[in-house]
Amino acid sequence: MVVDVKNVVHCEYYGSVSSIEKTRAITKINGVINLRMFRNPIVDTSKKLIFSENKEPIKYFQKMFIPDDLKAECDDLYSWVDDPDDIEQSTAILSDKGVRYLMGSQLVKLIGYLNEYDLIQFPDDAFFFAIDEISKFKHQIKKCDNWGIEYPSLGRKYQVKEIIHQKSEKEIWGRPGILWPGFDVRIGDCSADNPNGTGYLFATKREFMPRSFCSNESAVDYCIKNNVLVFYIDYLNKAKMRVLSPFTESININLQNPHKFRSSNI
Amino acid sequence: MTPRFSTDRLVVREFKNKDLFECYELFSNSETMNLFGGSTKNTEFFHGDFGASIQEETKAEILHFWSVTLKDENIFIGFIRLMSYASYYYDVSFSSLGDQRYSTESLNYFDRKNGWEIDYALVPDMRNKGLMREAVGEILEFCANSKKYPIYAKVNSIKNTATIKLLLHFNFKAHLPMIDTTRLNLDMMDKIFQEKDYGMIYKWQP
Repeated sequence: MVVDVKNVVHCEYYGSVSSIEKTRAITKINGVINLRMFRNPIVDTSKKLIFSENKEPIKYFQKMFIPDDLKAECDDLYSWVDDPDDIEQSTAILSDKGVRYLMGSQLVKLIGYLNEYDLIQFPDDAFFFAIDEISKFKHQIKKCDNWGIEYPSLGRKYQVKEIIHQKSEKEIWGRPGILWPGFDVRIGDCSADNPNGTGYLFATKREFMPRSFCSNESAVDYCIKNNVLVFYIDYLNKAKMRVLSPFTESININLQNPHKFRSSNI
Repeated sequence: MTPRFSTDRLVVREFKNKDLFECYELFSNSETMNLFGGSTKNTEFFHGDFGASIQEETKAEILHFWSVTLKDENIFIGFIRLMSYASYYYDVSFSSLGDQRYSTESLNYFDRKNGWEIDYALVPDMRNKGLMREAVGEILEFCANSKKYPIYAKVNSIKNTATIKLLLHFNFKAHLPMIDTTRLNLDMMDKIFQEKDYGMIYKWQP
């Protein structure tokens, strides 16, 4: 069988082949509203308010997706953000299975609180996110600067930086690599499973250039063709600034990550 | 907790990771850093988890970090920081003094127990529009209400008239000149003062 590998995208959790249509909205949330604790609740979907006989009306963000195996435990849950006018949101390509796993692994931590609290508020230093269909939000259809295909976007995500020069060196697990003078980015593929790896050092230009990419796969392809690094805030990795490089695929293969286009920590 | 403020044109709120790129623009801009003090940053600015470290220090009550955003467009245009002198920020701020920063004389000038240092920066095209004055006014009111004072503000060059005008508007007082210690000899003093080649630490309390 011949597989056309051009323009193939993958689930950002499982690494399985997926599609641009599986681009989801990822939103940092500050809490979960637990409908079980509301007496005779009425959900006003136009105003996004929950009314009830025993609680003050409360504004919700979205009804949360609950995987089937948690439905008995969770009933109806609604995500809550403390600043609905200024949300932290991005996109990721996730298969249905990926959504089920990522939502389930977060919701399972809340089960112990569901018989006690109507609003489970997360501490500031915790990072929880909701995964929603992008169609629920005002979004644009953009054209990918590299592959030329259309994709749904919630705004500027990727920024590109030109590589001035680079070098690689051996890296040993347990010994932190050094960011040598003259370089401003270091990434690597060392882990317990890959104890003898490679560290990649880059000196980059100061300026960022915004670019539109449909996916990490397209961004990595652009890195290879143009000798650049691509930066973005990765909401699947605690909303940290992370980087894609010409070496992303080999780094993830060596790290044995299921998703070969996962961003690297900097 | 870092409280949120709203003015006619601005929302001044806690820093969010989505502000990272715009914040980098400030720290990598040589003109801005010349006024702000410190070297321009490249990608090393992102090393570690900038947002998480702000949250940790806020929780430890040694830092408040506000993003200044345009109300209508939700765009990050600058930041304001308050850093407690009852923390390592005092050492960072006065590291150039060496051990002298712990001397009785220094501690007479700076209240290490209660003092806070304020600093701020705006993106170049948002300057000279009175925006920072709006934002700083809210922060000082918060400081007065929560008894976070005295507040110190370092101005790296007294040629930075815009910042000095802002500070004087809020009744900051000139507290102590800052002179490059490598040039601190009597022959140079006249020249330094004639050419206004020095900075000033201002102090505020309600």
